[in-house]
Amino acid sequence: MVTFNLLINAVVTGILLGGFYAAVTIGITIAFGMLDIVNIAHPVFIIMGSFIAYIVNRNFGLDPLLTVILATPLFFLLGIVIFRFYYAAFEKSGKGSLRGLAFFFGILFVIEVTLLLAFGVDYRLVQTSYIGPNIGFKHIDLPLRMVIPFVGSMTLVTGLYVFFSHTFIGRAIMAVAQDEFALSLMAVDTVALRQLAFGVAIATAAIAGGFLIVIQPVDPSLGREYIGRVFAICVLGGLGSITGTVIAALILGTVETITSTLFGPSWAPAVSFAALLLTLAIRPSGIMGR
Amino acid sequence: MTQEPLLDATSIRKRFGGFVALDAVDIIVRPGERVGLIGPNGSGKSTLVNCLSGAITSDTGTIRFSGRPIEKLPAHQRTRLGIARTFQIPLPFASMTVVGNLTIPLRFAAHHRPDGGQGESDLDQALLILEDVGLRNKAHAPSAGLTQVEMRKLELARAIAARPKLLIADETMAGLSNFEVDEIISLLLKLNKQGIAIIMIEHIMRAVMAFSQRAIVLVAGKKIADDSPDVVMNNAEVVRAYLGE
Amino acid sequence: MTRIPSWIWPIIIAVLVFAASRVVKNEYYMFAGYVVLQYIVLASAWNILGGYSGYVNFGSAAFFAIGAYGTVVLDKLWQPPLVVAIFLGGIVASLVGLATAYLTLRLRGVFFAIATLALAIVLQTLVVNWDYVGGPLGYYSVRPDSIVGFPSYVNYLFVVMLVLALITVLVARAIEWSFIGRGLAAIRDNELAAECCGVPTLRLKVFATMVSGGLMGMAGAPFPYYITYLDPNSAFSLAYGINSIAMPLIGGMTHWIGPVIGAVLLAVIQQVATVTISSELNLMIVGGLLITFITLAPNGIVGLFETYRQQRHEHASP
Repeated sequence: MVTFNLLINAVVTGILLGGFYAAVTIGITIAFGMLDIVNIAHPVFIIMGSFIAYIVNRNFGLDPLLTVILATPLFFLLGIVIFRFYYAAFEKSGKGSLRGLAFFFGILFVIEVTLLLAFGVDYRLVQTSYIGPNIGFKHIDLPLRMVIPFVGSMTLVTGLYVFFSHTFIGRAIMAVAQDEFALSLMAVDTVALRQLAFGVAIATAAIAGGFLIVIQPVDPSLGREYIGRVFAICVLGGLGSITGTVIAALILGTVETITSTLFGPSWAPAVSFAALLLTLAIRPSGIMGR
Repeated sequence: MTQEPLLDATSIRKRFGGFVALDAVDIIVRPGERVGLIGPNGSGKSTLVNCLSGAITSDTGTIRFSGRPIEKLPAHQRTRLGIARTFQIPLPFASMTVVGNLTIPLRFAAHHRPDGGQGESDLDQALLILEDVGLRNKAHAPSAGLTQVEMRKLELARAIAARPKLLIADETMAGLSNFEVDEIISLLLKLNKQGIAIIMIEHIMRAVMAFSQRAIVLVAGKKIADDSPDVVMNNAEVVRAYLGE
Repeated sequence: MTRIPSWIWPIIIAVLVFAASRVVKNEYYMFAGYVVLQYIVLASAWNILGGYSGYVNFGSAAFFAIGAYGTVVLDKLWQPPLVVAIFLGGIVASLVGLATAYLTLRLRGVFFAIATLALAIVLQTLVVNWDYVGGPLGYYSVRPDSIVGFPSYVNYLFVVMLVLALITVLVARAIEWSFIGRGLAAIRDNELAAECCGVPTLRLKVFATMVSGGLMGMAGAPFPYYITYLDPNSAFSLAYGINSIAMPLIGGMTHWIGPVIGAVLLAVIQQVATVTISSELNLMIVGGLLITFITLAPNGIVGLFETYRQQRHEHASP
């Protein structure tokens, strides 16, 4: 029976989830929205982050969020390495799109299968003090394990927003996103800028991975569920717009949670993909798109 | 001389976000006419070409070609009706040979034209066109390995292969030597004698002066002049636009 | 001496394989061979859109599953002859292809690719929630014991798939050599230029998607009888998605024989790997090969062969 209480909780949980989705998607907003690199493997990088948090937590008892913050520089470097390879192999020759897409598809598989071979199909979870308890007031029960990632996600996204709109390098990257050719004529090293941006994008995967395993148990194939979500949010929000990503993520998180509550969790994956198809059919430029 | 216009575009507007690229531009081209379209960089010339050819849709405005409204038609249908254009930066079909590039417009555009060469084979027609532009010796070479000049000629050849009534040549001469510029001018004049109307977009003034019967000037998305080349060149506003205050 | 037209070869080979199927008694070869033939269909069908026009379809599993679950529905309703199921599966898959194509092909190729991925997951979710076909628990189909004219039903399935593979390859070749194929090649090289040269790009892309999707649906239709237990995970297996892309890419995307080479090669490797090592490693191998080829030999085996031939030619005549 659907009560008001149930619905309110669903909406609030949905918002918390949506906030987390924003952190998951921001890497794609940067890579695809700004750099036009279709990194379809982004979700498995997140899963990788989750598993790193898991191992460290299991063996050393370290808090997963702390772990991933420490792992962030490593992921940043990984992003740079991948970009270098991608650039040398695909972008220089200009045959970009199809081959780059298939390349990341291949990476998706290799990483997922590696995780599968290393960890098996079981779900893994972490132990922390804040997984379990809820904070509540009035009718609303907020699981702490969702509140903390929400706060963390919002911080991350806001930080990146400030970076891209108010710092010199961030704005340079935005400029490259808009007109790379013009910038290269002004003796700006556009490749280095894009490389940096891609590194940032992959670095966010580490952080999102930490949030993920706090929110729910993780298994190697979980990434696939997120591919559609991530691109749905990115497209719905308008490519390259951080504000759009946040809005779209909140909307999607809420709609998904309400759907789950009313119709059952097995319908949840369809929501994001259906949203994606609808957006592409009706308004491909998204909410904040130009 | 009141001849029914071949191309009659009125009030073409196009915005990109906050930037107004075209602000209520009107343009008329009569059958067989030679029109020059000039203006400073960024004035909207290529945007206008894109709107006319259908590569993008204008926000408002009507376009009539041979009396038919075409503003809602996709680009390929406009080509089949008889509008062909070249691209400022040549876009060859890189996996095909030079002659192979021409078979595409011959098969997909020319075949749909009432007068579109159903006589000789596509290959023969293509070779003839290559002869005209001076690329015959490169007919079977891969189109990816051509020089800049040759790519420009290929662009033109491809547009010609569509058997158009109106050909829009978008900066085909940029960066060419004097000799090459003259080559292109005489080629375009030859086409014009066959009855093809031509809009020439150029920065090379002597080419525009020599070629055009009429010159249209666009500045910041607005048409500021539309007259014979001599009159336009002496128009104070035009001079100001090019040389600044 | 007149040249033998290239389309004769697939027919000859198919006849030979058919003859072999009459003689070989070990049913394992029928089972394994079915999978290889199925991939020939999927890879060739994928290539009609992906290779010829450059639009990547990540959702091959969706079209395949439409055929498979279509058969499940028919099996519950009235148990028609397999050929009917194949035909209907093809039609439905083709229509779904039409819808997807029409909605997304006006946009950039990237959005089409993502939409096909979305399609696969949406359909899987729908099927998982559809109890009529078994939902998450799956569906058991009874494989008929025998069928007139064939030593066993498995043998019959093998031959059916053989015929499908032959049809797919011939269709792919026909398209490649027709004006449609030339139009698709122009789209692949530069869609904007193609459109301005009179190529009806949307129409051709939609056509290619319909043919491609329809053939994949046909490949899926016999699957429930082959595997006897069908569940959403096996019908929508991502293995179909990645193999449909990897096989044409590794074999060579510009020629109809490329997907065949890639399919045979990769399917055999995967069969061997499953038996000797593990089935998880399969996808890793495919993923690894995909990355290797796409970086080093993007034109596939056919491309390598052509480069080799060209170099020999240049060597011969200085």
